[in-house]
Amino acid sequence: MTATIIFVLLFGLMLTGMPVSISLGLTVLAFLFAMTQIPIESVALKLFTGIERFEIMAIPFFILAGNFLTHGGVARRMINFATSIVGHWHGGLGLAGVMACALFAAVSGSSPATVVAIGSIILPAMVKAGFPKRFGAGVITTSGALGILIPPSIVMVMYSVATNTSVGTLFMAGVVPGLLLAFMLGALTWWRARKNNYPRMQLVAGRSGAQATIATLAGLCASLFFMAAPILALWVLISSLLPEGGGFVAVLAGIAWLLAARFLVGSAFVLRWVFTVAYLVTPPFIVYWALRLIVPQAGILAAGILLVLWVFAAIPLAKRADLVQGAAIAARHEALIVWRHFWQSIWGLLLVIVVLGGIYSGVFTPTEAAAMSAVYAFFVAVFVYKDLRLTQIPKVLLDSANMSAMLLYIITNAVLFSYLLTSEQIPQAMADWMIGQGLGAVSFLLMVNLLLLLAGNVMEPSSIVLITAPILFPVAMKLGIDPVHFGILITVNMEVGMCHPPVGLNLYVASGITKMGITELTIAVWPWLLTMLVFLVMVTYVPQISLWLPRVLGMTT
Amino acid sequence: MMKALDHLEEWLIAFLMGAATLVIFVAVVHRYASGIPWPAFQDWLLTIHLSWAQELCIYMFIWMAKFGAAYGVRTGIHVGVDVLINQLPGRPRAGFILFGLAAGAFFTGVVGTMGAKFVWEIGHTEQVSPDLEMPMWIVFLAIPLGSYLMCFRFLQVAWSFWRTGALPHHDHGHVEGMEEVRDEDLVPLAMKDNLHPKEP
Repeated sequence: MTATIIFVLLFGLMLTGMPVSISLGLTVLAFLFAMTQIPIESVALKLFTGIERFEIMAIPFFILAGNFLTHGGVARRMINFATSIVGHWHGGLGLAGVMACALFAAVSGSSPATVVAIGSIILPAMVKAGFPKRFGAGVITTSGALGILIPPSIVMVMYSVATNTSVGTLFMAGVVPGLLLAFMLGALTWWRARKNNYPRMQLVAGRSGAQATIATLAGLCASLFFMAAPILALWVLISSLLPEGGGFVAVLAGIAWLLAARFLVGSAFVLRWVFTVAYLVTPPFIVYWALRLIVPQAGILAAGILLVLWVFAAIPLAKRADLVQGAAIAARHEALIVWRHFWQSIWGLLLVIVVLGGIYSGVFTPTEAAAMSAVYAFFVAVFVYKDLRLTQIPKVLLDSANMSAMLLYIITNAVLFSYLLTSEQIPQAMADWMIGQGLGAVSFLLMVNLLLLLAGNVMEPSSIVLITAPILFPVAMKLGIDPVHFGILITVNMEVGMCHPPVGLNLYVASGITKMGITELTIAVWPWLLTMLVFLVMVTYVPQISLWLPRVLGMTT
Repeated sequence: MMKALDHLEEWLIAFLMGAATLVIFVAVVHRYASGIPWPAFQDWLLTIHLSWAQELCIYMFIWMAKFGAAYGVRTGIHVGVDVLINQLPGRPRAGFILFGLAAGAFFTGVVGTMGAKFVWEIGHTEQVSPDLEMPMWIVFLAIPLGSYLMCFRFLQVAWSFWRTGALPHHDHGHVEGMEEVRDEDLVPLAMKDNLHPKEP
């Protein structure tokens, strides 16, 4: 009974179009005033203590970091890097768009921000290259949704606030589903582009597709090697010399190396001899570690076999792709282009390591990682890329504060609301009732998906998560659903909701960039949206997709 | 007068945003820097205690949230479920919008008053915050001040809507500094720099 009154009141107020936060607050106020003996004064205290938690403060920091990156030319460099890697396949720029969205999603926690950052650069380029407008808009609108699935993610922080699930574990759990979704969207893009014969990019004239692919991969391997190998060596050296406080020195040494590397990447010696070593060592090394993840027993013998096998294959491959120069394998053609763009976008890519590496290794708490990434993004945008002038900083701060305050205000009122629900014991009652109806895990998850997709039609993600999570979470726990898996499922639902009308924010952002109507965009988006729905079903019923990585890392049971 | 209030509000929240970021950054760097055994310097670092940084950051962000929410009313960032009422013809729609704004003003006014009473009561106690040892009534002052300001902003927006029929609207698709699409952006691989050698 009380539950009915509360929800009728809430939805009634919401439908008048007032801000969601105000309708939440008014519901609580009205209910407490009319129906209970709880002193209303406790509301004022709750409005303050509701957000008095350090974990919540990750949200403003991530928003600030995202704003610095959007303004700071990081997106443009990531697009160039992605184009140099996948641009020569079918639907080149479209694929590059998917990859760039995935990369940017790894440094930004918001979907619309990803669409703006990537879309405003790549959509005009795609139209100019001869892609139909609809194709580009469809790719970017849906790929931009990766922003909240690939960590960091503001929606995941919201979920963790509402349910007390660990943010770090949720972030790690988002990695594999995020990559999988990026792959699925990319595959669809490739297939449609091939069917319709959309343009491919030819970075170097007169090269075949196979040649370009080999050279690209060689360039990627060499870049990774040149970045990581000295840092690993330094780290091993320092941690053996300095047992105490070595980690911090190693980080400083790593930064020093990257600063130095910027000046070395152009030298002829590096481009030939370091490249040769990297080309011969990196692929078997990567395969070896991938093997170790799946078969933990794989020993040094397996590494040796891989290396020998690769050496036999490597030289003919390099000859085929015309990468050989005298006795050495040299960075030429596409390999050189990948190399250049990798080193230009390195500062943006490193942010992924600051956030995920920092949280996983326990160097930072998620909130500290968010603050560090904001400072780092500021430093990169202003001093390294110099795309942001110091005079623009107050504006960026103000915009971030505006957006964060709005989200924090919703959180405050949602905490108030869930306090009311808990004190009336509504979530427990609902859980008991649902289980009493004989609801199993499978049908419950189906119901959750339908409910959230429906809610995605009228509300934006933060409000949905904050209102529904406290109610659905106890039921999920009683049915034995993993809290982390449940969080990823909710996040994927939010992604779908952002890409379809009437309130899909990504659609509006894309419509602003492309000057296309919402109806036309909706039609443009549907093939990718359908893929996302297939992906949603996979994530819902195969919890291993979300839970595998956190389990391997030992963050959850 | 009005302009001064606007600017004060903007400067306050932008400052709190930047300052809180710096506080956490310094605290983290200090935590790791004081772990390195460099002579003399480490002793000096160990004499500094930054355990209050977290608390300060939380309070700064709460202040930012309260005043930023008021700023948000002015910029129209607080969104609601407006799908339905936007289908309505002009006059009923205007009625609903005014009702929503009035409800916002009412809610924030009530919360502000409750907060003021609360601050008044706590001002007569000796309560201080755990780490900073700042009087709690100063910390809690954010609620009445922020809420009353927000109430004022709701009334302001309602008044201007009544007179001109225009609402502030926050455009999520708009990003400062993204306007000029340079030609080199359109051809992603034609970036000009001297950092790297050209094709050998």
